[in-house]
Amino acid sequence: MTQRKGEASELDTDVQAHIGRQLRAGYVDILNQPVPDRFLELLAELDSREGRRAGEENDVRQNRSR
Amino acid sequence: MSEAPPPAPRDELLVHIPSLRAFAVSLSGQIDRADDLVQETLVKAWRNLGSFTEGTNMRAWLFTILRNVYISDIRRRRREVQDTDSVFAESVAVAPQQNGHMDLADFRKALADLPEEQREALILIGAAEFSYEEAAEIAGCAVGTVKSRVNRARNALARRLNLDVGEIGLEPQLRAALGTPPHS
Repeated sequence: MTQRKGEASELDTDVQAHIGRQLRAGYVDILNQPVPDRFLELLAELDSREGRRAGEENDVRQNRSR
Repeated sequence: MSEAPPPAPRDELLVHIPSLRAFAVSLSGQIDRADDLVQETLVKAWRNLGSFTEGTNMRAWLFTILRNVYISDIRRRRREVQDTDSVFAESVAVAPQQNGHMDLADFRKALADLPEEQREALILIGAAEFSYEEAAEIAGCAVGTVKSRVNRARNALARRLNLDVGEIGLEPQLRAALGTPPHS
């Protein structure tokens, strides 16, 4: 375990745990939600819109890396 | 030597949407606004896929884009609203529902009231579990700056929430997780 210096050492580790728990709880809540349809639709749209162009760019990229 | 074809960009981006949303909600405090931020991030990322270095951390790359989108959004709002306080007030319009949730609502309010750069650092380290090095990269600052921002954020939250250690159960695993920075 690393020792924290200065201000942080005044903060009890239990308080830190409490803050961390709250912080993580809100985050994980969203993390576990399914991806909303609007994003699936967005990616599909981007994919189809740039499909042809992306194909050409990939060819160029592959040629360059050889 | 044959190489496996790289995953389609669409699939690669899809994988990271849940963490982008979690980051955006934590930053902005509002799910609708967060999803708009994620949308803009995905469009920008798609347009700039060529500048992403394959084999590097795509999640960190996407977080950097989202972070910049968020900051532009704040600047735009400040110009429009001319009143930072109301932006923050609006961003924490989460009413406490039950007694059991008061704690979390208070926490959200306190989190939303932190200076932007402190909140960002705390979320990157404490919630998204990036290393200090990755967080520094994302926030565009020095590693030491991230550390001091996280410390200041934790201290401010502790003071603000008036935490009584006696009422908080001990959770050694969480404490350990917070006490040592994650390594990747």
